[in-house]
Amino acid sequence: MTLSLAELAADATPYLDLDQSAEQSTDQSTESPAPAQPRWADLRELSRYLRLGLADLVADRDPGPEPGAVAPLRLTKGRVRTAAICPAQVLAEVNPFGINFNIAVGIVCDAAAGVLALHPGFRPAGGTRWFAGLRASLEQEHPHLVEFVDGLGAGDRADFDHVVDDLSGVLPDLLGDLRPHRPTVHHRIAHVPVPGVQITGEIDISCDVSIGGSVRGRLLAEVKSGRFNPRITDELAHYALITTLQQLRSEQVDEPSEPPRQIIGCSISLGDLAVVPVVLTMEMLETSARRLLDTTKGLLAIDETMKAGGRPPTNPGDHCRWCRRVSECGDAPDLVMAEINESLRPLEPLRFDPDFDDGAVDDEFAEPGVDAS
Amino acid sequence: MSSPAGPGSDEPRLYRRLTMELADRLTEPALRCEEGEVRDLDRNHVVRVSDYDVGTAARCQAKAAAAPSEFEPSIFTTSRAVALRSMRWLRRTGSVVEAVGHTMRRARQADHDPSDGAPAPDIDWLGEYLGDPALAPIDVRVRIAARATTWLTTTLDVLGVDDPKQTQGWRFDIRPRWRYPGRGLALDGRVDLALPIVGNHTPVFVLASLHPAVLDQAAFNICLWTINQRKPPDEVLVVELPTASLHRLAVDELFDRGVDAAARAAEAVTARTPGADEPIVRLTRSPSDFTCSDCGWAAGCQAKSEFDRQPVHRGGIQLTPSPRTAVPPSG
Repeated sequence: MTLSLAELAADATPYLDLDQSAEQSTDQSTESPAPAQPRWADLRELSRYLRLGLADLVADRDPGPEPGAVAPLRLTKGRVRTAAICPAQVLAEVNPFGINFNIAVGIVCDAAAGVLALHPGFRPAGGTRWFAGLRASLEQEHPHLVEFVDGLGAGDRADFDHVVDDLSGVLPDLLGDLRPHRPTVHHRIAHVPVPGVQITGEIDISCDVSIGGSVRGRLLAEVKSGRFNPRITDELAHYALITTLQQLRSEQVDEPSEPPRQIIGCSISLGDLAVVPVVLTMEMLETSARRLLDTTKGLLAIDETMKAGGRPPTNPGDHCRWCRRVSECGDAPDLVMAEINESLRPLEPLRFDPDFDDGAVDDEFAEPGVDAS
Repeated sequence: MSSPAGPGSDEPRLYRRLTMELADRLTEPALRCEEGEVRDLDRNHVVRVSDYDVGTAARCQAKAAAAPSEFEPSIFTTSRAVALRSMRWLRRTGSVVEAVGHTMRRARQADHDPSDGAPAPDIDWLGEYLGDPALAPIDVRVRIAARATTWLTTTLDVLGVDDPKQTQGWRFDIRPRWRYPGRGLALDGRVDLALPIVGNHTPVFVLASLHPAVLDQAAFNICLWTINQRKPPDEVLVVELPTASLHRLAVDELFDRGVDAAARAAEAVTARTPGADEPIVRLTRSPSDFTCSDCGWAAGCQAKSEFDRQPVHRGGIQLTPSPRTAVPPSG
């Protein structure tokens, strides 16, 4: 029996080691992992760490020609990832975003999940394809995607529809009925730890989660068309950090009677046909905060380099395959460039061997009068 | 102009002073409007300055003078309206999802199935749009509902409302307004919510950011609210959706700001001239990628072309601030 997101939202207790958490909260001297359930003191300490670190980093930032003219430094999920892989990849943001087959599949599955979260009974009308069933909303929200799909050749288009239908078809079972759990869909979130710095993200689906019989937190879910991997945990920790820190109100003086809301991550991994819960510990949030500081340092260094007319450092590797500025970089490995150049080369026309016969083709499929040569 | 906020102050006189201040600052724009009271004039002969115009003029005054593009309902432009209308069903349904669903069904049925023959209250642009399967098929409607649900759920969370049934006495989508005496000039405001507080209501704006242009809109709306209520609010709240935070605006700082914003927008809107490719009066320009993206005058705008010639600093990761373009006089 596959776990659904709605079932997880209804009772996440089995996925939290509450006994371990309680034990650790009474014995702080052990070196075992931080408790899963954060406390206000933990959050304040985490917030302080992030604020002091960021304030130190952006203190010398050019204030711009006029006070307040500087746009906030945005720390997005994408920037955290790319800055860690290769600093120069961050500059690719100015290049047009390219859609490929896999990205297109991911966007349509994501849209399907967004619709099903609110309307679990939704199915494409008349047994049509999922892409066709979502086309009108995709045309508004992702016009480039629709253009891309419409431009696919007949074979690729059939493959595309097939893959999308296979993946989206399992979504109703994986999501369940989320309506009783106060769902939000494609929710843009942000946190401003210090003036001039904004941490942002967009959560595919979030909803209330019950622990021990009562609603005690939020469930943050990422829809992935592939299989579960550790990078998804990092993404969920990024969202969880924002959502957790949002709970600290500036005007809050007294310790609230209720503990902070428990944030639980979850990957809806269509490649595994599974909902994968991820318990986000304080340790993960701290790692995410450290990553933000590293990213900020990296972004400011790139900015300084660019201002001085220099080239940002690169870190070439296999990841250059997915970089939007690979053609202008010059540091990409030869092998990757050869692959890219190869893929851009027009395909040779197929040549059939007129004498080939594998002996397995039925006569009824043979087309008389066609000269394969 | 400062607000006497304390008890026993001259609150009742504030709205009169606001009215006089607006009338004074809007004299010149009003002279470009038809003579006569707004209520007596044909609606096509009334110049309306909305809070949307105020936001546009705060970003670029010249853009606010260009012919506004036709409103097109879409996923992006209808979800907020659906969310606000759903407020009225929160108490009855006790659920955001159900309230949104009810609002959307009602809007569609009102347009297409008025079973009792009486005019339904929701027959308007929203009902026409949602009720037309060619314009808004089911996937589009669900996406609108999803956005409205997310908007409402976050708003309630930020306001500390655990149970939607606690929204008793809330008012929503309030439209304060003011008419220039003797001229066809109308100021149309909008306040998202008003929370009941003993003896008064607290206006609440639900915003995506605290951009100065958006705060200008809020200030403009509070001026109109104060005139309509004949007293200023005790406090003004802002729900900032992405950060899930609640802000209190300093009420006494909103009045001067709101009058300035109204004057800036009225100058631009009253200068709209069909067929013109330049504003007929001198207006400020503040080009940016966002502002110029849908401006009818972008093609011939000198400030925009100067902006486009600026160093590539704006590219890259956009950390380095770009110098503001000098604003050349127009007209």
